[in-house]
Amino acid sequence: MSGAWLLPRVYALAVLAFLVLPLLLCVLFSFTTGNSAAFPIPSLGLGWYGRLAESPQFRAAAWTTAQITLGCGTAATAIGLATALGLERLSRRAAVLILLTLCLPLMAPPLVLGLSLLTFFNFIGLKLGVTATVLAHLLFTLPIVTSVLYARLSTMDKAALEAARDLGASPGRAFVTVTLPVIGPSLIGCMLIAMALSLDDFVIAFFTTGSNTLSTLIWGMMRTTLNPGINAVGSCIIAISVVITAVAFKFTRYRG
Amino acid sequence: MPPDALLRLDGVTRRYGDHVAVAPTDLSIQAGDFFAILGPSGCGKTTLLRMIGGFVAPSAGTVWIDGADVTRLGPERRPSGMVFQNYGLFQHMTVRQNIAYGLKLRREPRARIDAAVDEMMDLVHLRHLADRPAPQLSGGQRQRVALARALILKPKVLLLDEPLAALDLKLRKTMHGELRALHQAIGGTFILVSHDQSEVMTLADRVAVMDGGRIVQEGSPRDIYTKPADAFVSTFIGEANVIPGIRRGGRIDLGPDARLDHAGRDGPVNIMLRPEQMELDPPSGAPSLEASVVDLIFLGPFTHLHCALDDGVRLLVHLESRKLATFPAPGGRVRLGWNPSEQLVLDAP
Amino acid sequence: MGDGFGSRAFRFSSRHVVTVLLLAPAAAVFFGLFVASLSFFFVQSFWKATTFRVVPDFRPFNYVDVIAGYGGPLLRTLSMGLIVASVTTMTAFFFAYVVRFSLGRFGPAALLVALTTLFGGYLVKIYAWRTILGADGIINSALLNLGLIDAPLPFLLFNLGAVVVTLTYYLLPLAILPLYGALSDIDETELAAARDMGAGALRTILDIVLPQARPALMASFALCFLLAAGDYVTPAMVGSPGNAMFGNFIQSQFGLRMNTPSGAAMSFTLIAACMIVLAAVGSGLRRWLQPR
Repeated sequence: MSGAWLLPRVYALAVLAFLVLPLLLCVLFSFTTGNSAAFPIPSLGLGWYGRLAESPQFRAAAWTTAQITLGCGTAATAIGLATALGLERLSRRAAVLILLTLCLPLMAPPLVLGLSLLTFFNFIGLKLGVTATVLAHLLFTLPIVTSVLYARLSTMDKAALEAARDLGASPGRAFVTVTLPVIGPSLIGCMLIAMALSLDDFVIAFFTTGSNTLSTLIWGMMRTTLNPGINAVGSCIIAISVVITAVAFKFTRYRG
Repeated sequence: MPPDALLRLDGVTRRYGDHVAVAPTDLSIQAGDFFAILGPSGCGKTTLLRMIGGFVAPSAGTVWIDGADVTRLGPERRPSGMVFQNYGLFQHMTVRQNIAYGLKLRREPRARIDAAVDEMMDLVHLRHLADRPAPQLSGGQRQRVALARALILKPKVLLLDEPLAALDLKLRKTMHGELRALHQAIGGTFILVSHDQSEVMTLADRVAVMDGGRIVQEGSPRDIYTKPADAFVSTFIGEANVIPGIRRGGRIDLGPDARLDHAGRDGPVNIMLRPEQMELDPPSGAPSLEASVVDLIFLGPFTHLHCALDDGVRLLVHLESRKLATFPAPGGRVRLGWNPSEQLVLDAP
Repeated sequence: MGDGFGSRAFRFSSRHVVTVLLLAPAAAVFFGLFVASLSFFFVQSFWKATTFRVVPDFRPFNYVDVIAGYGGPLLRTLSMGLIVASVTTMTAFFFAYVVRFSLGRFGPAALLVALTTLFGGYLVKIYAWRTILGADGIINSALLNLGLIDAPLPFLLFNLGAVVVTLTYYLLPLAILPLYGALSDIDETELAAARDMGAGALRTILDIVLPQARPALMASFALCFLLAAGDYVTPAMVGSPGNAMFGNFIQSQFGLRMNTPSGAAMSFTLIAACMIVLAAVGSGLRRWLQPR
């Protein structure tokens, strides 16, 4: 009896340790004052972060990443909202079919997606850079944002909207005063999820940015020297992602 | 304790931290009984049932089924079958697959399984739905599948956890009849948990009333209705008027002009009367109280009179309409009396 | 009469105009970026690569070249993908199961912790495992310092095992998400009912839980398989240099040589092979989990 009770806990803890420890170690070694990400750690300090802050490459990459992440988050949320509202006006069958179609890019390996976009952008003469990467990232963020928003809209109480119309609100006014406040948390949550997905990507960004992003910067560093500077950049990405994800879950889970 | 008890609980207890869900409970149920555990929600009745079925481990005590100690056995190794409140039908299976599942686990031959399932589906009138997937069934049909699925394994005890709570009133009435017929046809031992006293009165031949984690009274429905152990039982089983009074020197003082003789310890008491035990304008000599009429509801054969004593105590009186010469008007004063042989005097806690 | 009909027809069509306008941006992204670029890529897979540029042509032979030249790596890649997807999906399923049915009130917290690792940064995760498994990495340096070994263990990194561990690590939270969603739709009472009828814990999982979670199981498996089989960074960073994966060969077509037709033909070969494997896995899963 006690074994049956203990086993699930041990298993869950083991999986969580497997998921969390590598990231924690990565962060831990970013604070080393030594020259390699290995034990023993001579002492803890912010030396590698200081070197990053002074590095012009890091600053440029951070700025590019910020533009891409924010651009992708905003665009995916705006288009996703429009799409979800449009799908809401169709029959459920049609909406689900369109949603599944929109999700097809998620099934394509990022390498194939990145290469075909690179070839296509070259062909139509679109210069590689922030715009190209934002467009590319839309392919895999848009379906997710749309799915979440459509699910939220279709579980929304339609009676409130009808009541607002009945009380004399125009469709636009009813949307702003009734629908938006209800789906507001989901909108913020979706935007954050889209940003996290965009930040997570390396492969597609690698083929579509002209300059370095944070992830292509790490790639470059990994190919030359392995030093705790990579841990410092990585820790920045981890910190931003974890905060974004935690807040996003709080917002989207707010109501189912 | 009779030796032939099919199910016996010895001091069965369940605690959750500091909270006592079920206080140490002794209970024995005879083979063939249709036994009901009745109580308000949160009284511990479902926890008690789940301990019998093996879904909750008792913190203390022993569960015996048919002479064997099953306390440490999981539900899969107990000779009990359960019908769950929300049915728990296997959603990816058809009616037939749901009912056959237990026999397939026992690796019975295919032909025997098919025959037994057919017979069971006939018994609960589901033959025509044999190949319908579970999600497409109505509430009453789900209920029947759940029953058939449990009964096909011929459990020594069938546990029914609020089995009809999710059905509408009319369907519930139909299912009452079917459950009674099933019990008579199969002759098994059923234990029903319910918060609905009319359901319990209809179905069970023995009842245990639970409150606050303990059994407060056990007996036949009639015993419990006519001789409730305390004011809680009296109001929970059927409707009851509870009139508070004070006993001093063998007399109970019910108000400025109402006294009656009753021997017993001095102190506060409650007089319990069923609505049908009270009458209008009683013969002189009978105990009576003056009340004002709050409302009057005409229901054909019966008329329900809602009254209030001057100190605010509410009284409900069921009167036979044909015996009423005139109908009292709301706002008017009436005199309500009763036959002292029918009253129940309970020491107030 | 005509008036009323006309106005209704007008409203009917204006409603459609709004719907179309709302869906237009997504359609533009889907067709203008996804369909267009993949179609163009597909067309290029039949073109001819000369020394300096690619020339429009129709050469189905490109695909024959791919099979002939890279059949081995393709099979190796698909097997690696199958291993990773199986390990990840099973680990994720049992984690989701434990969170849903066994952990009680600790379940949501465990799920939240697991899902915060959803986006740690793909490269960061690969790098983390490289630093953990490397010759001067965390495991080796810890073991050396503890005096348990005299020289770094060389077999931790640059092999198939390292690739599988790293990809599993990256994909696990992604696989947990749909599986937990599916399990949260299953009524706990069904599990209790199965136990009541004599099924043990494993039997219940096999007969009751897995069949109902099959779509999510397939979704998780497909996601893991496609991402693992299509990956080239992980094999390059932690895998064996002698046993490069298919993705590495695709990527190398775009290095100095810029042989787009060949790269495109390899890409579509990979996708087609993946679809065949997934279809087989899907039908196998369906047959295995059918209620008897």
